[in-house]
Amino acid sequence: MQDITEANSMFYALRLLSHRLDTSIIEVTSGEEYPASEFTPEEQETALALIRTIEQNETVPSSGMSPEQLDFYLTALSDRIEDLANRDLAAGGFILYPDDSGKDELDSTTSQTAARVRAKARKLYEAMEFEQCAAMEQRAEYEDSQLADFVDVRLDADVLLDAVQRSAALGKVARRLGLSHATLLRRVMNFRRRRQREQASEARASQQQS
Amino acid sequence: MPNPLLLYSTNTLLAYHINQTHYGEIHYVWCSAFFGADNIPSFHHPNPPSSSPEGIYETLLKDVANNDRRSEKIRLNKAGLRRGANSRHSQGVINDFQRLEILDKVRLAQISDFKPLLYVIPYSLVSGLLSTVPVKHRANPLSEEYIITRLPRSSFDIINP
Repeated sequence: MQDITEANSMFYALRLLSHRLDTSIIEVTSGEEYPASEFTPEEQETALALIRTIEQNETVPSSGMSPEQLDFYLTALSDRIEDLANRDLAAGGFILYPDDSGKDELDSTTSQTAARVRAKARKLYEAMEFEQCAAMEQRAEYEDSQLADFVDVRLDADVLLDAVQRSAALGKVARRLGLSHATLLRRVMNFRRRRQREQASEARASQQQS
Repeated sequence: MPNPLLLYSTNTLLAYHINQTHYGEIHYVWCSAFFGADNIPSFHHPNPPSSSPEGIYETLLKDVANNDRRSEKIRLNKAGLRRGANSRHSQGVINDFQRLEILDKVRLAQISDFKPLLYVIPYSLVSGLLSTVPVKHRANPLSEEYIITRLPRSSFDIINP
């Protein structure tokens, strides 16, 4: 489970910054009054320290920051909150979420990298534990599009298909989902076709724009 | 100031859905006695657009209509829904699977799921549930902001202003 303290600190900082509140008059409090009713002293301290660091870096208080400066930090904070949530979803078997060290590999399309990605994908499938498979059983109730999305949003569809076809864990995944090999593969292939259509559509749109 | 007749709160369709389906129709809202700057009866109580229900409603409506994927209000709403799921989980309201379901719904949400909804809340029904937001935590020190952490669905109506 994600570091709730960090997630809460990020959210409190996001709120302080988005409302351009004056952190020089906001103290860490405990008791019934907001924010103590919702954020622990530690979370408040972390958030305030974060905002003050940002203000020091920018040499202006948040109330004096330009919309672009503010947007940069609001984006960074909300992205971090999303990242923490996605890590939990990955741990729960809802999505595959490679660690940061593999991100560049997954974004690349060279054959050498693709081979490493295949190995990583197989490892991910083979590492699935019972709890994750149980979560996937629940996911089987979802429509194909959502199942495909669960299978992966970040891996290249072709690499994923290859990994799934090769994976010794496919049978385990299919059984846990209550599906046959063929059904699971068909769903993955439908996902691949949809992705290809979307990519072709995006390419056409891009060509038209240029 | 005498007690207000109504309180107003702008929320999103996704927030409404999550509160209805996962939290037993109990809603968490920030609200105000004034809908917007134009219909404030006294100049002593201006709510800035960032915290007035009208301002939030109009911003969200515009962002949804424009399919604005970089919308600050939508990002804030997503972050708040994620925090809410963790908070309700730590309170024992939902189990971990339900928490992950909510996080996944937020992840997969479309821009249209952030359509704004305006809650109209009779003050008399919720006066005992209100927490006052300290002045230093308000977007404008003169604004009137409240938090209701456990607002039953039976205590508010939803309208299209």
